[in-house]
Amino acid sequence: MSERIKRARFGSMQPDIENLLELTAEDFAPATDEQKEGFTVDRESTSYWKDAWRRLKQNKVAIVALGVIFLYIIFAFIGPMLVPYGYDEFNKGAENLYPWHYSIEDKAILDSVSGDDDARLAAALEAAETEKGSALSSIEIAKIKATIKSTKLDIGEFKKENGIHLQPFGYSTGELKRIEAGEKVFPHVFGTDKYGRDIMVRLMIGTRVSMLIGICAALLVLLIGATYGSISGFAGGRVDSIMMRVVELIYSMPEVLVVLLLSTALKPALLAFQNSGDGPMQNLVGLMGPNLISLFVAFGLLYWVTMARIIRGQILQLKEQEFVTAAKALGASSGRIIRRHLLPNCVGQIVVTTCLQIPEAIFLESFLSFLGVGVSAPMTSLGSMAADALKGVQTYGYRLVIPAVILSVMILSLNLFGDGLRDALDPRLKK
Amino acid sequence: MAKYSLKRLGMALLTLLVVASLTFLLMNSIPGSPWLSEKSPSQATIDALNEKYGMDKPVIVQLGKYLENLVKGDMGVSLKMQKNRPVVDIIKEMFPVSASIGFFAVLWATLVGVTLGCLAAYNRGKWIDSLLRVICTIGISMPTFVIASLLLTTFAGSNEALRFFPTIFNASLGIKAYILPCLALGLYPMCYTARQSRSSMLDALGQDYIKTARAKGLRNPVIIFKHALRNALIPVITYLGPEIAFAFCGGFVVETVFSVPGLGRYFIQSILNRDYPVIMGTTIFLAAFIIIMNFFVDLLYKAVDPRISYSEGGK
Repeated sequence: MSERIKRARFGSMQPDIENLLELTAEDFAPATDEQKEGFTVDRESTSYWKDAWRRLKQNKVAIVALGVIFLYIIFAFIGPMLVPYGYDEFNKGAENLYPWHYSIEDKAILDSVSGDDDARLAAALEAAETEKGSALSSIEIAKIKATIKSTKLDIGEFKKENGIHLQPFGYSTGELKRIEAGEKVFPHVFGTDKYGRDIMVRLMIGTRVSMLIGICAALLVLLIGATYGSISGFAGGRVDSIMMRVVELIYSMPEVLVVLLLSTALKPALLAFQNSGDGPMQNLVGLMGPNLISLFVAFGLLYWVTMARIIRGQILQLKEQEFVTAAKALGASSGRIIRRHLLPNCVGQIVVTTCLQIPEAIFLESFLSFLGVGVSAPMTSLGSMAADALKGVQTYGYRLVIPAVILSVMILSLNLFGDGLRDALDPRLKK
Repeated sequence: MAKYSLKRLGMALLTLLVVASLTFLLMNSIPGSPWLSEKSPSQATIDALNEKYGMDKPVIVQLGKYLENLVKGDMGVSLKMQKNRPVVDIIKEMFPVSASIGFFAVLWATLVGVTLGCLAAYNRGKWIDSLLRVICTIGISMPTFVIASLLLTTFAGSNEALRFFPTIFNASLGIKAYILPCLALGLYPMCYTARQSRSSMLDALGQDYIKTARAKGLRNPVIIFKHALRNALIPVITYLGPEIAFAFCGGFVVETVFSVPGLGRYFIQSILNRDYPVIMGTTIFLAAFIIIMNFFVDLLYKAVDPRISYSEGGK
């Protein structure tokens, strides 16, 4: 061995290895396990995702948002299995229940005292008449009426005196009787609507519909946008400029108008298709409803442009890098370079954009459903529930507030999580 | 500049043409003829009607005819909602209401949004910044219909103490009738503008010329309003285009909730009633409005900031 080591040339700046390493036979003895321990890497090498996860975990807001999203998933996907009511099931005798109730005895007491003023008036008139012994003059009648009105029973006070309290959750009288008989009845936590449908189940299904639409629309956007953007960016030159012209064109179209237009135009065609036979496609159309399909068509037609722009920008930068040249030199086809080398390098951007697309899709869906051109009748969604509630908002305000809050919190947490994800995956973008 | 303007104008016109053709073709593809209503007319009647309205010709000829009429300002007549009334008349009657609500909404959203954004940027990291950030994040997560219906139930609902505004829009009440719709419509753009102007203000405040201004001994208000704000406003202008589009499309919801007799509500009703000429006319009109507004915003953007180049390679 030692003969092979070159002697340093005179004046060389290289250290004289011969002198540095005065090797003895001991140095060549196999290392003990203890010594080996010291050689193991102190810190495990982190992958891109591990690193991102570590950064994400430090972001408290994003983690809370993630937790909320999990709760939503449980609420929307597991919840309906636990509640024994169907979202389109009419519970007879349980129409228009509030999310609270009185026990049977309390209700009986309340009913007896809150009997209408007319009955009390009639009783008072009769008493006055017998006292006077003759028919009452109109002035006297008016006086009695006024006293009856002014001494109107204060229900609130009465309840306090008699210890009548509201109980949480809605039960119909029939259900309360069944409970008394020893049966177990699941409460209507948020009450029921005018057809006797359990509002909580409808909320769960509505949340599920909104989430699924958001996710599917985002995936659709991802598919189209990433394909289009990467081809445009990779091809460059004239192809790129023509493709970007198209993007520009779509970008300047008022999307909401086109969506509304599409839903109008596609509805009859889809209905005709749905009634044309009993194949799996027809069933799918029937299940989703024409409005929903036009919503997806609109997303597929219009909303991919942002994604395409972002991907194109990334690809334009990446394609000049050495690893692409290397892949080309090795004879990789353009498709392979895009799929295996370019797209995986913009995965951060892709994930973030897709994630932020979900709330946007939910936003649009609820908007359309609210206007009555979104999710159609047997199905429900948070937007259409809010729209239904708007009609009876003076009496049943909570029916509007609950879906509104659920929707807003969902969008809020998706937005916050998306922002957190962006910071974690691409810290350069952090504002 | 002139070349750029021409180019943008061409693009705007092309978009308009695409939207108009798309509208026409989509409406034309709907199966079933408009003459099949309650009474089923004889084949001869249908043929005569088709001939009268030029519906026996190929679609492309019909499209050409429709576009020609469109340029002349003829959008056909309403078939169902206000029978035989020209669509142009309906738009003329309804649009001013929508436009005034949209205008005031955009106005307050931009003014308040920029002010709050600057306030947050100037007080970066202090409680006011955090508070504004929380408010704005919540604001952009609430769909307009949620905001609108919550405002309606709170300030025009059954609660007498808070009932300051009419439940149903009434133009004769003047400004009082406009407050809630404008508030509801402007909240989302306001929050968005505030976020945007905060970040661009922070950007501007970090620039060297601000340091120079400070070194010269200028007072803070002068630095902020004279030096930083001008540059910080540029990205805000870019958002004006989408903001206007939002104000007019978000108007659909707001007008529905507050029962405003505007074009947006009418549009939605025409969709629900399948009054095709009204749908087409309104779509094209609103699209044209939004596209033209975008065009002007683009020009404004370019005029305000001559540094921006619109070369092809730009991102």
